[in-house]
Amino acid sequence: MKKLRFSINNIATLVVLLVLLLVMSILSPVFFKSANLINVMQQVTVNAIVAVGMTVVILTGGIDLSVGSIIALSGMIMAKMMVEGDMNSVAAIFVGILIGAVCGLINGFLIAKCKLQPMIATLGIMQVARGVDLTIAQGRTVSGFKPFFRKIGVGTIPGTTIPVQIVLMLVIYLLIFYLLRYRKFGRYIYSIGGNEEATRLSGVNVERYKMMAYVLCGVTAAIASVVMTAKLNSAVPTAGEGYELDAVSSSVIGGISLTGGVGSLWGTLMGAMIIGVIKNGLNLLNVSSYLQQVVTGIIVIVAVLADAFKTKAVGRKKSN
Amino acid sequence: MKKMGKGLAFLLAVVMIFSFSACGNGNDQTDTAGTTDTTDKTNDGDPADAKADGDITIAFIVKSLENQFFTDAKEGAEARATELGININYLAPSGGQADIEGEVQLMEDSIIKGVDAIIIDCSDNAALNSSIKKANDANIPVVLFNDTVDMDDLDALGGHIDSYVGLNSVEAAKKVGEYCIENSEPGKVAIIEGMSGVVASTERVEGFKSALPDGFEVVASQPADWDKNEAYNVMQNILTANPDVSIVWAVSSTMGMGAIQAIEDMKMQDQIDVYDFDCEADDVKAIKEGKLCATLRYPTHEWAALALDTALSLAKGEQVEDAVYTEVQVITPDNADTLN
Repeated sequence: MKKLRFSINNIATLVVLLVLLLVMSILSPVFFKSANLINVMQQVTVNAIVAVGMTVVILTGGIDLSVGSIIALSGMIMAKMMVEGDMNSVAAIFVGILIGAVCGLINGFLIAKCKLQPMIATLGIMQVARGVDLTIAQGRTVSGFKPFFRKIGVGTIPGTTIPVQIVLMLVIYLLIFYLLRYRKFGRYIYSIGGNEEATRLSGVNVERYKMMAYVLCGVTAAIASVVMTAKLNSAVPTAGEGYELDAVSSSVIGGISLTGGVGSLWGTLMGAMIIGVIKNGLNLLNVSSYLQQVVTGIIVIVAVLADAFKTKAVGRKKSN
Repeated sequence: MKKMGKGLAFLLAVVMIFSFSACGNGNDQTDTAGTTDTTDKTNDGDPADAKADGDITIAFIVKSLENQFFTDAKEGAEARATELGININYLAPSGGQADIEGEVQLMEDSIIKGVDAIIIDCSDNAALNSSIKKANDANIPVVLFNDTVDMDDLDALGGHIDSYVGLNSVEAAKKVGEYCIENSEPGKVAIIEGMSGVVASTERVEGFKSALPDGFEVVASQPADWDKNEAYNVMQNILTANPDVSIVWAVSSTMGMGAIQAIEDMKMQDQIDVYDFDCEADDVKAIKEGKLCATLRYPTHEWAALALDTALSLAKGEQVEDAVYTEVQVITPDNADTLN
C-alpha cells in the first residue's frame, strides 16, 4: 500500500485550518458544538463538490468559469423535468448530470480541439448556459419535488445525525482522489499540467484527457446542483452565481497551483473547509457585512501569497 | 415620365430615411429631399412632434431578466405599449446584472437607432452616466426606472435625467416594519441583508429598522448576497448563535425563501415570524401556507406601465414630474387571497 505522502503544501493548509478552528472556538461558544460542526460541513458540501471538478481542470493548467451557470442550468432543467414533466427523481437527476456533462464536453471541445484559452471559452459558455437557464425559467422558481428527492438534501444516515450529502461529498473525494493517484487518468492529468508538450510527445492523447477533465468538472457541478436543489427544495434561476470564485479559491488555498500539475485533492477539501469555517464564524460572531468583504479579500491575498511562497520554497529545496 | 418621377421620389425617400438613421441626433438638417411628399417623418429638432403614436419607439432597458421582477415589468410595459399603440424595445444585457458593459452597449445602440425615449434601470450608479449624457445630447428623454444613479457624478458630466419612476425602498420597508410590530411580539430580530454596500439592500434594512421601537432588538444582521443557498446557510448560522430569535427580516424574496427553508429544517417555524420583500409567486404561496407573515408588493406591471406613460409624455414634449413613486402594499394573510 502506498504511503500517504503529505507535501509541504498540505501541512501548511492543515495548520491554517486547525488554527482557524481553534480561534473560532475561542471567539464563539457555540462554534464547537456538534450541531454547528455538522452545519459547517453541510454548508461546505456544495462548494466542495464543485471544487473537485475545478481542481482536476486546474491541474491540467486550465480553469472553468462556467460552473455557476452549469449549476443553474442543470438544476433548472432537472426541476422542470420532475415538476412539469412528471419524471421520477432518479431519471431527472440523471438528466441533470447529463446536462452538466454536455456543457463540460462543449468546454472541453473548445479548449482541447479548438485550442481556445480556457478562461475565454468557459467565460463564453458561462454566458450561454446562464442565458439558456434564464430563458427556460422565465424568471420563475420551480418547486414541488417528491420526498425522495428532498431526502438527498436533508436526509441523514439512519441512526445518526450525519447528513447524507456529507457522505456523498466524501465518496466523491475518495473516488476522484483514487483516480488521480492510482490510475492512468490521474498520472496523465498531472503530466499535462506539468508539461503538456512533453506529455504529448510521449504519445498521450492530451486532447482526450483534457476533454475528460472538463466533462468531469461539468458533472461535479451538476451533482452539486442536485444537492443544493434538494436542500433548498426549489430551483432558482439565479442559482450558482459567483460559485466559480469559491471553487477556485478552495483549490488555490488548498495548494493547487494555477499553472497546473501540482497539488492534492485533499488540499482542495481543506481549502473549502477553511472558506466554510470563516463564513460560518463571521455569521456566528455577527461581523459587519463591510468587514466581511475585507476579510474575504485578505484570505484570497494570503492564499495567493502562500502559494507563491511555497513554490519558491520548493524551488530552493530542489536546488540544494 | 410619370413612372420615372415616382421612382425618383421613392429613391429620394429612401435616401432621406437612411440619412435620418445614420445621424441619430435629430438636429436641424437642411435636406436635399425636402421637396418630396412620400414621407411622414419630420426633420426638425423634435423628432416626435409630428409623429403618429404608431411611429413612436421607446427603449426600455433593464439590467437583467433574471427574476420575476423584470419579466413582470416586461409584461406590464409591453401590454401598455400595445394599449397605447406605440412600439417598445424591452432590452436586457445577456450577462445579467453583472454585465454593465452590455447594458451600456444597449443604451448606446438605442441612441444610435434614434428612439424617442429611453427608460433605463441602471445596473451601476455611475457607469451609465456618460451614456445618459449622450442621450441628452441626442435630445432623447431619459427616464430612470427603479435604480437611481449618482447625480453628482452625472451633473459633473453635464448630464441630467428627465424623470425617475421608482420605489421608495426606505418607506416601503418601513411599512413592513410597522406591520411587524403590530403582528409580532417584541423579541430578538435577525436581518438577512442583500449584497453588502448595495443601495437597495441598505435602504430596505434601514427602513425596516426605523419602524422598530425598543423591545425589538436586532441581534444579528448578515449579508447573503441575494442568493438562496447563502441565505439558508446564513440563517442556519444566525440561529445557531442566537437560538432565541423570534423575528426575521429578509430583504428579498429569494433570500426569504432560503431563510424559511432553514427555519423549517431546524424545526423552529413555530417560534419565528418571517418578513420579506418583493412579493413574488413564492411569497404569496408561503403566506397562504402560514410560513411567511408578510411581504411587500410593488405592483410591477403598473409600475412599468407608469414608466412607459412618463416616457411617452416626455417624447411628446410634455412636462412631467421629476420623480414619481409607485404605490406599494404590504401583503399579509388578510389580503393575500386577492392575489392569485
